[in-house]
Amino acid sequence: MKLIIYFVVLVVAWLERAQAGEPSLERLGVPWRVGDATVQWNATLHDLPSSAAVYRVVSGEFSPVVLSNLLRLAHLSERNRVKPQWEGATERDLSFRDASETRILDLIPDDGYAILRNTKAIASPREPAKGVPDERQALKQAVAIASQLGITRDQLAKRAGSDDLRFTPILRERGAIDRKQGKLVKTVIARELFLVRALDRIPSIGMGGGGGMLLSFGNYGQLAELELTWRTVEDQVRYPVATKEQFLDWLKTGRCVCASDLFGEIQAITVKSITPYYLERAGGERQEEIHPITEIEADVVLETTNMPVRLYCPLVVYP
Amino acid sequence: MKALATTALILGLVPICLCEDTNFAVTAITRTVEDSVSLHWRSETNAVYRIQFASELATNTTWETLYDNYPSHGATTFWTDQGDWVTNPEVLHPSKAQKRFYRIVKIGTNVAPPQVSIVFPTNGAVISGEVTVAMTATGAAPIATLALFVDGEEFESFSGDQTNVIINTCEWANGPHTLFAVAADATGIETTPSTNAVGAQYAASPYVTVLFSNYVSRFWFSEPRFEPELGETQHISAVFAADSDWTLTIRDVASNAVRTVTGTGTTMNFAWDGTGDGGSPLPIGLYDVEVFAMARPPANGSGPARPQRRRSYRVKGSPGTYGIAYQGHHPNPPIGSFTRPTNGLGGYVALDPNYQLPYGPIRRAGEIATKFAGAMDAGGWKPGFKLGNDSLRASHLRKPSKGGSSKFNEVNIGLLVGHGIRGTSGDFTIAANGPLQTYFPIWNTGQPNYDWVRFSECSFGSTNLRWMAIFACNILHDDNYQDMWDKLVLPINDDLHLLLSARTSVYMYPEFGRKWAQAMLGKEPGGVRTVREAWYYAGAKTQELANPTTNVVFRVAGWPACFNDKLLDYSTPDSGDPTAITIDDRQVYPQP
Repeated sequence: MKLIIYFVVLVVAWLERAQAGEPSLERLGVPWRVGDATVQWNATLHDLPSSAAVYRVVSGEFSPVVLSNLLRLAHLSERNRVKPQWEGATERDLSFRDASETRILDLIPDDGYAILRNTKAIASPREPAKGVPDERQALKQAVAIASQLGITRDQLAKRAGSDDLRFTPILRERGAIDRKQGKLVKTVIARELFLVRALDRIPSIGMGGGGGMLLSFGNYGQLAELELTWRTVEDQVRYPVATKEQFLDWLKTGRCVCASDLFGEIQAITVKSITPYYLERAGGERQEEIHPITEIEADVVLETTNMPVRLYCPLVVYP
Repeated sequence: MKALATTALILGLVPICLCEDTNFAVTAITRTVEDSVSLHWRSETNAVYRIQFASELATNTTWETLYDNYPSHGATTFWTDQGDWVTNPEVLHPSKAQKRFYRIVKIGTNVAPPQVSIVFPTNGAVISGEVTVAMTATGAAPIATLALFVDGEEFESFSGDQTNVIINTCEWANGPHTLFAVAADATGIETTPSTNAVGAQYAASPYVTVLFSNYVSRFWFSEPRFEPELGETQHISAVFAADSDWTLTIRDVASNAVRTVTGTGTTMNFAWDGTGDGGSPLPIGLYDVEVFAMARPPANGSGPARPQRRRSYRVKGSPGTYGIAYQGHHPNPPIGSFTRPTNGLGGYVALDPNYQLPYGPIRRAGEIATKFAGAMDAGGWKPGFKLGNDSLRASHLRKPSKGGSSKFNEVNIGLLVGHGIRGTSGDFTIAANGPLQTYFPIWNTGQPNYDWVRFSECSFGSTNLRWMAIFACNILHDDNYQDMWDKLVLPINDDLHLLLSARTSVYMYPEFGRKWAQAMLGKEPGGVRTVREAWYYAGAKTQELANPTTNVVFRVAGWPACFNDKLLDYSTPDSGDPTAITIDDRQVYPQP
């Protein structure tokens, strides 16, 4: 009799480990429900997979090669290692910096997170901005650096319907009012871009960038900043993707969030598109699981105005 | 007395070459306006020299090294003696030495010298105020040290990969100056050198001749350090481009003015005995000195004043005070008549069409501000005030001349969270030329409508307030910023270091305030960030990246010297000239 009881307990424990929790969407917006408003569905579900995995984040390590390459990119060495100072740092974390703290490299292996900064790479206000790469050059440099960190093109998100990398160009500019021209004159002082991570070819998103790599290039293409968020994951469990009826039910019952504060009662909503993503936290923040979610673009009619909104819902149906 | 010392010094010069170089010869001895002594000699390309001195010549003269491993500049080389106050005993500045004899020793020849050059400024440039000199150096071995020389005097030497150095050109006389860099590579500095280790290689860059042009020049201290209790006096001097009213302010490390002196004339000379305004001796410590000069009107009283230029000084501070204010309790409209701001001509200001929506509640405004406060508390900063929702009144934001109290000017760093709305038509309540404005709709429960605070009704900056952050939409929108600047109503006063805000809409995410504070305090990975970079960091961490339909761009505006301010290591503003106000943009919510 005792043996049977133990068996049951073990099976329950195994099931709990295999099942994933639901995505935590509150960081993407405020809870939101359509209620009794009219819903018009104009989106297609053809681009969604039939099922999607929930990934478990596991403790990782930066390989010696990647660590060596990061140190080289930072112009630092093992001699520059110091005790990590940030809040929540553990003994597994690594920190390197030069004496003047001009060049810094901090690593949180368990979160697959690395941040490298060179504070002298971007021109100061009295310095000229010179040799700042254009977007094409910056992308080329970024892909080469990604390769040094063991990241292949296959692991990066692509633009929809294309093999081109999906990346976010970010401009850094500085300027002042030019008295002769009588207008604000700006100069590009750095070129940044964010390469997006893909899991199962689905892009990562999230507050603070989600998974991927932010790179910033300053004067003469010097690497001013590199922020890598590349959690080590294992496929935990797959669930079926929700149907249109299930998405509608979630919208009505408040399982989705809205990125904007809406003022007034919702009278009608038209769903225009639905796109899958993997939701990740910002680099350096602990995350146990990575869930697939959807972004729904819709137009809403309020009491006083109409406005486009973005809604976030789960992608898969959890048991 | 000074002239006598100089004469003796020059007569005392005895150049000696300890090698069989028959070409060696001193070709000139010159004196700078600061009475430093420049030695010029005919040199060998790639030679490396040692400059030595003695106070007396005797049979067994002891020669002390003044400068070692000084590379040849080519066919002729020069070096300038400014003394050496770091050594013990100190080598006095030549102007204070009764006499000094020099000898120049060739100590080696470079085999593969590094390549070194100055890339900024360029030859012939006219430069003013603080300037960052950018150098490059490469060699067969890594570069170990790099030094910048101004007129043959070593200004600063540094190791590692640093290639930029900031000089304040106000410290020299106006006119032409020669800049060059000297590099040494790392050859031969292994811990365990090989048997045939090659010595370090040295090189000097080509000269870059530039023109310094400042309203205040020759801002000079007679002593690098002084001990008043031993009767020593610090002579502080400066030269002005015109007959001026000047103010000299000496500040302690907390930026408190401890001694203020005023005067008029084309020069300033002040002998400081280490006492404060009350005549009491000040405690031992570091003090910063600031001079402010403005041209006096001509005798007939007409003519414009010249632009102000101030000396920026660097401060190593300690945790100070912060203030927070927020409003997120705005009711869902309509509230009362829900008017727009009046335009001073009997009508209303037109607002950005994107913001015709009601200015309703911001659910997270309080959380943003209070989380900032919590993180600052943990970092040892003290709260000056916390004004939330109904306790924030429009008068807290307005300046005294507009009936307010400029509350934020009471603390060192401020954060205001709330709605920001951009006007698209002129506001004649501010000035007759109707500048565009950005607005804060201040709401207090029970009042019939918003109290619209115009941005120009504020004046940010004081002897306390260095950094003012406004987390609200569109406060520094391009059109409004430029128009306020053009019409001289931008509320960045001479004392504010940086105004941190956005030129677009922003998303109100509750962690924003905490992230900003944590990044400034060094509690986020990546080290202690500047106030400005921390603002961007918090923005990047909290503004969405998910398929955005619009960009979010954060903007920081302020005085150039303050752009790299950290909470505990910052520089005072370097100019009062509005054209010097610089903006810095970073997109934190980008378009994929």
